[in-house]
Order: sequence, then C-alpha cells, then structure tokens
Amino acid sequence: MKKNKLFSLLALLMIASMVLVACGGSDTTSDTGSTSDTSSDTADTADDSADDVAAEEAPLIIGTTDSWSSFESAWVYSFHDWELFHQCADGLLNSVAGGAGEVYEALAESYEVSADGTEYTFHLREGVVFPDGTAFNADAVMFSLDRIATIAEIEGANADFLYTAYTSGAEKIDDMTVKVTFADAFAFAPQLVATNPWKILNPNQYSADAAGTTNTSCGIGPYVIDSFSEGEEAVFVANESYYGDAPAESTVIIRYFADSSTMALALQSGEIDIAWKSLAPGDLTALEGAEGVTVETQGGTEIRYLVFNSTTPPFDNPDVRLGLAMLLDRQEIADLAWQGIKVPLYSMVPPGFLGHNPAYEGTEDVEAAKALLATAGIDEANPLVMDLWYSPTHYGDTEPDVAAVLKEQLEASGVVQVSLQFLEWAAYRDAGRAGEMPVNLLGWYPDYLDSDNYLNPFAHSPASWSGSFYDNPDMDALLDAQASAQDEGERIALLGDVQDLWVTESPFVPIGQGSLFVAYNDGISNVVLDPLALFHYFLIEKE
Amino acid sequence: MSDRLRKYILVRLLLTIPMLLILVSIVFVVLRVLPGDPALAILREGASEEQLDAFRASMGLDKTIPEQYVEFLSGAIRLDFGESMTRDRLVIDEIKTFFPATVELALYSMVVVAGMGIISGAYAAKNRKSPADYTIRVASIVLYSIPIFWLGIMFQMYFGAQLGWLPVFGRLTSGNVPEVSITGLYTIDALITGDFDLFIDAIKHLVLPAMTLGLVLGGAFARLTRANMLVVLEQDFITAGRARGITERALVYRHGLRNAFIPIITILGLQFAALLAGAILTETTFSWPGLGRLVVDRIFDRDFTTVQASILFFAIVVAGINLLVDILYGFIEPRIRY
Amino acid sequence: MSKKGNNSIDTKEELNTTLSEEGIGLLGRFLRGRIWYGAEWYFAVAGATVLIAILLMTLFAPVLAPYDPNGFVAAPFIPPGGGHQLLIVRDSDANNVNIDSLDQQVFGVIRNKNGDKVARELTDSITRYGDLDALALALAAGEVDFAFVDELDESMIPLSVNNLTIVVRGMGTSFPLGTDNLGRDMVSRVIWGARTVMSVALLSALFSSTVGITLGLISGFMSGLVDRVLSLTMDSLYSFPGLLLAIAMVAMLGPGMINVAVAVSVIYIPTFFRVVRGQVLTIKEELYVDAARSLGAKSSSILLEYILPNVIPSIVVVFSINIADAILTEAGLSFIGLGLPPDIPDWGYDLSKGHSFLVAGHWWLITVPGVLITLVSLSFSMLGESLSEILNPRLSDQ
Repeated sequence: MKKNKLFSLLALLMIASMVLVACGGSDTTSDTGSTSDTSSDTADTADDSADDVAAEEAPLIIGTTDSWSSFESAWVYSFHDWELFHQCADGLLNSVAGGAGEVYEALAESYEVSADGTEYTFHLREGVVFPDGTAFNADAVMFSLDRIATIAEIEGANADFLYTAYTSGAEKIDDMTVKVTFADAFAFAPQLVATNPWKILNPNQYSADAAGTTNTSCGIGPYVIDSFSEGEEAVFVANESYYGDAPAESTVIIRYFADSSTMALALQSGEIDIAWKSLAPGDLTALEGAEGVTVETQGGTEIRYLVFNSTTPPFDNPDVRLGLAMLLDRQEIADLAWQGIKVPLYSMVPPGFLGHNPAYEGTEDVEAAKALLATAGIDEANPLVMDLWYSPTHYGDTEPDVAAVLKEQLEASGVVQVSLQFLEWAAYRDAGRAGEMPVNLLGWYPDYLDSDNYLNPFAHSPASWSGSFYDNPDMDALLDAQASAQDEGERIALLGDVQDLWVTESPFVPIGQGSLFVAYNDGISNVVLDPLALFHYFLIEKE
Repeated sequence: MSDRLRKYILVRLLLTIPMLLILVSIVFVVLRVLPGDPALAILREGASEEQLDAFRASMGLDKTIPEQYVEFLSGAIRLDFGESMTRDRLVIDEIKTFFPATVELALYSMVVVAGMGIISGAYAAKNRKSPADYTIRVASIVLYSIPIFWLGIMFQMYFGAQLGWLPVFGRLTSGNVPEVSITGLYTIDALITGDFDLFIDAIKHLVLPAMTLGLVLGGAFARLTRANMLVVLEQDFITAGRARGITERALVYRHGLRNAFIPIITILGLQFAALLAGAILTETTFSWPGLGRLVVDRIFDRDFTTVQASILFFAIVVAGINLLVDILYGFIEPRIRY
Repeated sequence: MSKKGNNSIDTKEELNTTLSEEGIGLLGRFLRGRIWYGAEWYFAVAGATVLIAILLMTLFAPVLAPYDPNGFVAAPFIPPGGGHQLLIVRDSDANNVNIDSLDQQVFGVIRNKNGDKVARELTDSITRYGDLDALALALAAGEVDFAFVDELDESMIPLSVNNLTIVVRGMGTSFPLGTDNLGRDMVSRVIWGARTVMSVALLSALFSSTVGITLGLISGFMSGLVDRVLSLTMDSLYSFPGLLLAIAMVAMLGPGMINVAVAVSVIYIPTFFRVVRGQVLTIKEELYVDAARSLGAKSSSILLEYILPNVIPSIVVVFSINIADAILTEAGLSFIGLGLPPDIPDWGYDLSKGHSFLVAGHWWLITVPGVLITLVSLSFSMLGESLSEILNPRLSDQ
C-alpha cells in the first residue's frame, strides 16, 4: 500500500540523513593524547580487566549537576574538573580528606623548608609508576610544573596563577629530589602545592606545549579514567598500580544532570547511589523525608556577599555601606531564601579558619542603621533609591528569592527603595567589572584554604575584578602584614584587625556561608565531606 | 523523475542556501550584540586585564565584526566551524557528540506525534460531532497547553520515582555507553550490532522523554490532522466512494488519510522546528545530553562559535526535512505547479 | 430547538430567516448562534468566559487581591486551605482562657510555621520550638501557657498524652491557595500575575501580528523580488527553534516586561506573515479585485478595503493561538531563568519556582500557576478554533 511504502521511504531517508550527519562516529573511550600509542593498548587492557572486576561488583554511581569543561590541569579552574582530577591524580602533597586545609605527603615522601621559608625541597616517593608503566621521578615533576606557564600562554591564563604567581621557579636536584622556590615565605605554601595545577602528569601522555583538554590519562591516583562521554557519564576504575590504598569500590561512575529535582528523583528511584552537588532546598526537603536516604551536611567554604562600588555615590560613603549592612537580618535570609542550605555569615572569613572574627555579629539593628544613614542624609523624607543586582541562575535558582528577601528587609526600614535588576551571568560579569552595578550579589569559593584568600582578593586595591574599586591604604597595609606574618599569634591579631576595619568600611558585606549537602541511599558509607568541597570517590563504600 | 520535478528540486535546493545564509547572519549579529564579554564569562573571577586580553586575542575576538563575519562564513562553507570558546575542542566534534541524542529524541517523539495525531485526528474526523470527537479535541488542546517541563516532572515522579517502572533521566543505565558509536543513536546502533540489551535499555530511557515531547506536540498535530481530514472527507470522491458502498472505515483510513497525507506530511515537517524548540526543555528536564541543551548552556557561556554552528546545524536539519517533504510532495502530487 | 442532522434543511432556512431578521438584537443573534453552530458555540463561549474572568482579574486586581503579592504575609509552604491556627492550652487552664488578654501571655510556636506570624501579631513573648512534639512537651511542662498549631496538623498533636485541650479554632487567616516558598499569598499572586501574563502575551501578540500582517500584505500583494526576499527571511526565522530565539533576544535586550514581550513576539511574526501572504495571493486573483483595479482603485485602497477584511478571519485564529503560545514561551523563559524579576508577580515565574519544590511535596506551588496557564492557553485556543469554524463556514453542519 502506498501509505506504508511512503512511510518506510520517509523513515529510511531520515535514518540515512542521520547516518550521514553523525557519520565518522566518535569513539567514546579514552582519548589518551597524541604522544603515545602504547597508552591506548594499556587503556584497552584496563578496560578488559575493569569489565571483569565490574562484573562482580555493582559500580558506585554518583550524580552531579555540575559539568565538565577540561582535563587540562594547568588551565582549568572549576570545581568539578578539579574533583574529577583529584580521583586519578595525586600531587606532591594532597589535601587531607575532611580536613580544614591540612595536607599530607603523597607523591613526595617528605619535604624540608629552608630557614627563610621560601625554599621547599621535596623528596619523591620511590618505586611509583604511572598507570602506563612510566616511572615517576623528578623529570615527571619538572615536566608537570614547567609546562604550566607554556599552557597558560597558549590557552590563556587561568588556574596557572596558583603556581606561577607564587613561585619563582623549580629545579631538579637529582632523580628523586625537586626544589621549589616560592616568591615569599607564604604560610599557605603547602596548601598551594595541593591544588590542581600542581598535580603530577605523565610526560609520555601529556604534551609540554599543547593542552590536553580531552586527555583522560590523568596522573597517578587511586583511579584511572576508563571512559568519558561528555554530558552523560565518566567512568573510573581502580588503578592497579597505585602506591597507596586501593579504593573501596573498583568502579565509580559519575552521571551528569541538568536539573537537581531529577537528580533527587533518580536517587529515590535507585538509579544513582549518591546525589552530590548541588541539591536545591526543595530536593533536600524531599530527601530528608524519604525512606532509605541519608542526608549529610557540613559547613562549606563558599561565601555569599554584597558588593558595593566604592566609587559610586552614595556608596562611596562607608556610613551608607555600613548602614545598609545593618539593615540585614541574615537569619531570615538563610531561613526563607536559602531554606537552610546556607547559614548566616558574620565575616568574610568563615568560622574555622585562622583568625575568624565574626565582626558583623550584633550589627543587625534597624534603628541604629537608620540613625547611621541619617548622618549621611538618608531618611524617610529623602530615601535612598537604589538598584540591587543579581544573576538568576549562576548561584542556583534561590537567587531571585535572596534578592526578594533583601529588598523586603531594606525597604522595611522605610528609608530605602530598592529596585531589583538582574542579568544573566556573562552580562553580569561584564557590568560588574565596568562598575555598572553599584550594589550586587556575588559568591566566592576559596582557591586554597586560608583566611588570606577570603580577604586579600577583595579589599586589596585595586579591587577591580569585583567592580568594587575599593582603595584604602590602611586596609592594604593590614592585609599585606597578615599575609607575611610568621608568628601565628601575630597573624591572628592582624586578621582580627582586618575584620574589624572591614565592618567600619564595609566594602563587601558577608551574608551567608554555604553548607555542603550530600544525600545517599542505604548501603553507602564512609562519605567524607570536605570543606574544599572535594569529593573523595575512593573512600566511599557500597554494600 | 520528470524534468519538471528535477527542476523543482533544484530550485528548492538553491533557495535553501540564501535562506540559511540569512539565518546564520541573523544569529551572528544577535550573538555579537549580546552584552557580556565572553572572556569574563569564561575565565575565573579574579582574572586580570592582560589575561582577558590574551584570551580575546586567542579567540579572534579582537578583530572587527566584519572580519569575524567573513572568517566565520568562509569556515562554514568548508564545514570548519573552528574551536569552541569554552572548551578546547572543535565545534564540529561537539556537535557530533551531542546532536545524535537530540535526533534520537526527536525521532521517537515524532513517532508518538504522528501516531497520536493521525489516529486521533482521523478518528475524530470520521466521528465528527460525537462526544468522542469533542473529547479528543479538548484533550488535544489541553495537552498542547501544558507546559512541557510540568508534564515531564509529573511523569518522572509518577512512573519513575513512585512506580519505578521507568528511568527518570539519561539515555542509558550507568556504564552502558557503548565503546564505539556508529550513528550515535543508541537504538539504531544496537540494532546494527545486534545488541539486544542495549536496545532495550535505550528504549526504556526514551519512553518518558519521547512521551512528554510527543504528547504536547501531538496535541497540536491532532487538531491539524482533524482539520485537514475534514476538508478531505468533504470532497466528492469520498461521497462517491460511499455511494459505491465502500465502508466508512476504509474511506477514512485508506482513502481519506492517504489524501490528507500530503498536508499532514507537510505539517510534520514544519513541526520539526517546534520539536527542536520543545526538545530544549525536555532535554533539561530529563538530563538528556542533546544539542538543544548544549546551545542554551553555551549561550549563557557566550560560546559564540559553538552556538552559531549549532543553530546553523538545527536550521540545516529543519530545512533538510522541509526539502525532503517538498520532494515527497512532488512525487506524490504530480499536479503541483511551481 | 431542532435535532441535528435530521431536519437540517428546515433548520437552516428557519435560522437563516431568524438570524437576519430585523429587530433581533445582538443578544438574540448571539443566543440563536447556539442552535446554528452547536458545540462550536459552547467552545467559543466557554473560552470567552474564562478569558473575561481573567480580564476582570486583571482590571480589578488591586480590589480583588487580599494581600500584596510580594509581601511575606505568612509562613512559607502553607498548603491550600491552611493557615488557621488552633489555640491550645493545658487541660487545667481550659476553662479560664481570656481571649482578650492574650497579649500578656507567653506563647509557644513552631519555628517557620504560620503560628509564629499569628502570635507575633498578638504578643512579643514568643518561644520557638523545632517541632510539634517539643512544643507539646513544653506546654505540658509549663514553659509556655499557650500554643499555636496549624489546624491541618490537628491529628498529629499528642493531646491526651500531655493533657492538652484545644480551646479556640480558626485563629488567624487561612489561605485558599496556600503560600509560596517565601510566604506570599498564592491567591494574590495569581490575581496580580494575571496582569503580567496578559500584558506580556497581548503585547507580544499585537507586536507580531502588526509586523507580520503588514509584511504579509505587502509581500503577497507586491510579489516579485520583495516577496522573494521577505519570504526567505521569514522562512529562516521560522526554521529557528522558537525558544532559542526568545532566549537570545532576552539575553540581548536585557530583562524587563517589554523586552520579554518583544523577544517572544519575534517568534510568531513568520506565522502571521505566511497566513496573510497565502490569503492575499488567493484573494488577489478574485474577480472583484480585478474589477476594482480596472476601475482605477489605488493599490493601497485595494489592500485595505478588499483584501484586509477577508484576511481577518484567519488572523483571528492565529492571534489567539499566538497568545496561547506566548504564555507558554514566557513560562519556558522563566524556567531557564530569563523571565521576569521576582518582584513582578508572574505565573511563569511561579511555575518555574514551583518546579523545584514539587519533589518536596509542595504540589500547589506548581499546580496553581500550571492549571491557570493551561486554562488560559486552552481558552484562547478554543476561542480561536471555534471562531475559525464559525467564520469559515466551508464545513457545513451535515
């Protein structure tokens, strides 16, 4: 019958065109870089053995709403990419899981610090090999460190500053010894060594002058990447030749979600074992009440804050800035807008960090705020008319609520009128840097776990990337002093001073601190939440 | 194939090119006009001016807009769309990675759309003015009026989380991604390689998304089919057939449908653009790694190169489908004059 | 009233006379239409009724809405019908409760529940507890003398175990459609949201129709190169996935109601263009147009007097479907985060907000705007379709 024939013709044509279109196929297994052939053979063997092992145990499946961008550790500067790399590559030093910034010796068996605090000599661990059999030695370390600057030139500077901005060089002392010289006696130098750009890569599988964006060979870690399909899944299998403890589960699969509600549902339906970043308040409510699901939480290191453009009147007046800060009710914002996924924050430096001083605590006072604003000429007859800017999706979909609650709080005083404005992220950054958003909401994750990273990048002049343009020599002096203070007691005192001055000046106003949430099904254990928000797949156990 | 048909196809093909050109130009202009420096969106928060400049230079953004336009067009003709601005990958590779997923979703959604539309539309047309007809009409409009993501999450919650019958996300169960892909459509690949398990897994994951997208679009399609069928059924040859004693059923489903087929196919072709639009929301709801979702993400990232090429790609597909439809039209209906 | 299908011819003649009789007012014609058009009439009327109701909501929003749609008037996540509080005391106090002196008493409430808000209106001495059991125990132990508990939670209160009594019911206000995640009243948000939705949808439909019709008329009438170029451009726009275009336009234009309306409208211009152009091409060939032209009528007057009136029926249909689609597209934009800011009440915004809380069991956040959006879309579509059947009577009632 003609109708049927036509249908089949149509269907065949559609299929034919699709075949042509998608022709060439894509090999979804490891793309191990252009420099070596032997690596692909090893990868295949790894596949086979992985299949055998995997057949015995069900894989551990972790869901996330983050997305991948690159495997080039010298360039990439995003959470999820760091997390992936963390499972399959160690550095000379690694962060202690669940620690508050402590590091332990990983690929370096030990290290010494010179008297002046700038030279670190690392003694490398013996008998370690990369998954493909290449020996781990000083050449590999030098290769990994030297290529950072080159990659930054090619790809554009990004994460490389974590090495290049703080060090003046590295040199090979002998086959198993490397010396790194820092530009100053940084107290947080070991934390820097544990960051992603410092991970040690395989000279045979990475290139010294080309980015390894899709290179899944990684380094030396508890896992190796078995396969990676962008947007779908990343499959890790145990590294047979790892020098340290074998991972608890031999196969881990990361699944990518576009939407956190779906992730919560997938956890409940058992399609994933663990739901990691980022669960929204609604999801947490659902999961906290669900049977067979455990929700764990821990204080995180993310901070949320208001930015003032200190060059735009009336926000160039510290009294206005502080006055507005005093109108806030951080607990209400945390309860209503964030529904408990963040907690009130009373200093840019979160609790638990060296020298934390909750200087904003006790400043929430509407009457006192109005009095202070009155001294700046703002009162009911002459209200402050301002725009409050936010970006609706970058910080999760609770952001419009945060803005709405802030508006209510500011307007409740009767002396402020707020108009809410938003821009999607790219435009938001643009406007922010150009100083076009006098009052806006931003967030921050630390690069390394030290109080300095919560203060210096913000209030130290020229403070341009944030659109703040805050310039106060007194603040600069204090910040510089605390960064190089050798004595801990002295440093804590200086940090306290910084945070006290911060309140008076209020160039940025801390509002909330993000908590980390993870939800998992029964049968999963040993889930360690890390303040750095690094997830340690290799520790997790599944029945 | 007759000369006239050949000429017709040629003319249509030629007309497609300026159309695509206009489209691509619109996209190009819109993207360049978009506020928001890509460098700022892509690099980290604390990046310095020099770093931003370096990035812009490496992406060719420091050239004037006409220069960029020419570069883009000359590349497009050679099917070289350059590199993605946020990933160090060729755009064409990115499209190859994500497009098959959308195609597969669209394909099965179309099956739902066509099946639902044709059957209910033809049925309603045949039993016009009956309660069933009205019910189908109202149901069609209701389906078409429901926001896709609402329908999607309700399906997920009910059939997925509550009943546990079907998976709520993704294209396959974890770990099942085949090592080598031929077309990128898992169902087709599974049939080609004879991997039955893969086929079943892929189909299971397709049910909810295809139903969501298909039902919503199917509502619109059912109405249109009905309208066309009514026109056809009014015609003389149907009355003549009835007089000759052909059964109602045969009249509707064989003669009526066949003649309504032409406009129906045309509409199906036109629906494809709507399908791709609906795919964006569906792909987000079901975490389906397709091109629609990619484009939306990359618009936010200001990844011009990827967005331009992807939209061009979409347009080519839609134009291609429309062209196919018109050619089929030419085959079936020799009376067409152009 | 005659039966359908039987005395069709009689009915028609009868009605033909009736409808065109002098002296039958508009209402009369309207009602008689029910007979002639049958179910189409019901559809059209149903659609129109809903739309008139929405229109009234839009116009009288300040009067109809009980609260400020942006005000945090109550606790978050109050289910529809909830809000009322039960006043609970210890059994021993049950008989000497003085409602008028409540402001001197010590109240216990559950944190983040509506009892908190209600209590705040009465007194300053409030103690907050984490959950119902803690509150009950505190009341029994004498830490507080009065407690507020949501009426909807009545069955869960451990009354007898703790020797507690309910003395007053229905304190505070209830919220027929509940409250959203910030404690805003859903009824008020729905009523005020109607304004936003209708404004955006109508604005965008007006814009697309004006541009599309004008271009369609010109293109169809003039043919030639102008027609070719315009058709090509429209075809390109048409093959653009609608939502993407809207996203790009909103990103380009920035946020705001007008910008969203413009962004959404661009998608539908080609549809109007095509329909109108097609009609124009057909009508152009009609004899009466030829006649007018031979009589020396100018092109513009031919367009306006002959062609436009005949094009209107199709436009009406497309217009109504356009509005329906515009509402859905705006909801889609909100879903992605590019809709309107939160201080403009908007169904699309509520819909996408509600989406995140559906899994938590707060079903009314998405269902209320969802039902309304569906209803309004539905009404416009039904109205449009029925009007098309009525105005294009090529399908006779056989």
